[in-house]
Amino acid sequence: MRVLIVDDEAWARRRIRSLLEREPDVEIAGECDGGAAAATAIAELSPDLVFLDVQMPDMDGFEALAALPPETLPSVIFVTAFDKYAVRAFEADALDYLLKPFEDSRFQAALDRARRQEGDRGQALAAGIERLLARLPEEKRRLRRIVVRSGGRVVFIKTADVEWLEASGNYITLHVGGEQHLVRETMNRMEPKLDPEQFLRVHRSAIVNLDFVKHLDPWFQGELTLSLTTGARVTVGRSYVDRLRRMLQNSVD
Amino acid sequence: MKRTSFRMTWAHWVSLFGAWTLLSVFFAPELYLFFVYRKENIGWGHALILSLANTAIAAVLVPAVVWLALRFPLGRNTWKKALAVHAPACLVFSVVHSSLYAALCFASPAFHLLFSRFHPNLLTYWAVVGFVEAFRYFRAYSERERTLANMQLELMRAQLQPHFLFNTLHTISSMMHEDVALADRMINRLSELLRMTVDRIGRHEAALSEEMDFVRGYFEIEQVRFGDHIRLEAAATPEALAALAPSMVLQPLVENSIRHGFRAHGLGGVIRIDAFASARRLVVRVTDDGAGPRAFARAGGMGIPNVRARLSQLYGEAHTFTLERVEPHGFLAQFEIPLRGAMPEDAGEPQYASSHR
Repeated sequence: MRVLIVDDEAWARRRIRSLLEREPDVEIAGECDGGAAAATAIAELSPDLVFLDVQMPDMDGFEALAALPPETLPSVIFVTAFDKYAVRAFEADALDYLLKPFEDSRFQAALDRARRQEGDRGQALAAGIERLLARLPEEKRRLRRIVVRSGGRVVFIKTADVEWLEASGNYITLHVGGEQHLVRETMNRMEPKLDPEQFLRVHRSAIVNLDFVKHLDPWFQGELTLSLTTGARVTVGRSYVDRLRRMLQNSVD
Repeated sequence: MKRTSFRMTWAHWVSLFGAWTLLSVFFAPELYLFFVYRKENIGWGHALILSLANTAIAAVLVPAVVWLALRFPLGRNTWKKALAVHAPACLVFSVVHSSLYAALCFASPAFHLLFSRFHPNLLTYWAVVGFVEAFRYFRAYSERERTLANMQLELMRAQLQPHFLFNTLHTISSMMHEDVALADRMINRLSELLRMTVDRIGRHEAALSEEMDFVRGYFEIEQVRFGDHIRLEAAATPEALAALAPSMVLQPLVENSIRHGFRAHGLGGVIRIDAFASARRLVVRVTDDGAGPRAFARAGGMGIPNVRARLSQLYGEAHTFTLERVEPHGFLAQFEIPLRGAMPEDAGEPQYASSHR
């Protein structure tokens, strides 16, 4: 079993490392001291299990998970010192967690459970984590970075840099600075994770970043389109016209 | 003015009806005697009917008076407007009540009562207004009590810093396996911090020197936990050190600098606390040369909003709190509050009559 250790404090990582070193079947895949590093490491190393600290200054544990495509999520044991809110969420979704400080026996129990689940992790766990993320307060749920694979490399894309998102089957194409990145995600799942002040669904298969909207072209060839500062044109769906108008109205007021 | 929402249940209606009936019975002898003195014996039954009529009219009119009293409170800033409404309203009330009463009792020998009831009705009007005001004060008072109690609880929870406490215990639990001496030192540092916390618990203010000691203790533990390359410098005048400062304000500012100014970006640097007195004001400044305010705004931590809330709860208009960027990079948080000395008898809210050791 390959395990990744994530905590912003070296001593806390050492504690987990020393406990894991006793386990013959465990291989320590790596250590990360922050959420962003953790998301990259999960995408690159695809570990079987992650010990994930919840509170970290750069990007918290939930955010790191939200940045990853659901089907790449490993088994996760959350580690937290004091967060009543998170603990309630873990309990509700039967996700495993450790409260700092923890004893060897408690650690052992969590590890054993993860071992048993190793076979059928994935689906159930991904669903659990998704429900957990959905239950978090809005601002914690916001996606600030998206992890994509590009030519065998793992790339972090700042959500704010994404000009627009286009659905293509079970995937979404992110248009960023002249490049296109494919993420395995659906529009309906992506939309609520984006900041509604900045991103707007304008079509069944398009979400635009309002920071990149240049102007609205009235019924260009029978259809309403948005011109982006990058020169791209995005079609506005008929059922989204009213919402867009209202949004633009508000930004004028 | 906050609207008082209130829903009448059938139990309320029954008690209201009962209360008005009791009032009628209570005033019946007065009416009876009134006629007796006028050498007109109208009998107890008749007196009771008159009294019932009297209160029934009032029962119809009083809700309007209650509404007016709720709408136009006799507050410090609103009393002029309220008087301008209530003065004519009380005359109207009295005249309407008296005329209705006289009209209802027209057949009785009590026609002249039109004038005899005028003055008592004026008093009735003001009694209702007085009752509403008393109720309002009671409400506001209990509301204030509740808010204060909540503030106290929140402060105590914040002072205990559960997140920091459990994390540090976890650090120690990890250290024990590798470096007993260091673990021992950490336990001692943490104990000192807890001792200071227990001393201050529930107190909204403490001498700035105490706050500084607390921050130093906190900083030292953070240093051992993370091995950050951050230095803490402090410069405070004796006058400032002796002044009263809000508790749980300085530490969150330093924590913010550590977390969002440096650690989130893997940076090191200097955090500086300056405190001095100027024109009867205590000025406290926390400066760092870290990543700067953009990082703060992005991080959306609770530290800064909590500090802002605490300062305005404690000092209202009398404080200022500013955050700004420092050139070439860094962050400055500054608050100013009225300068008051931390005299023993003035040391915050005397939660414990503490003997100074």
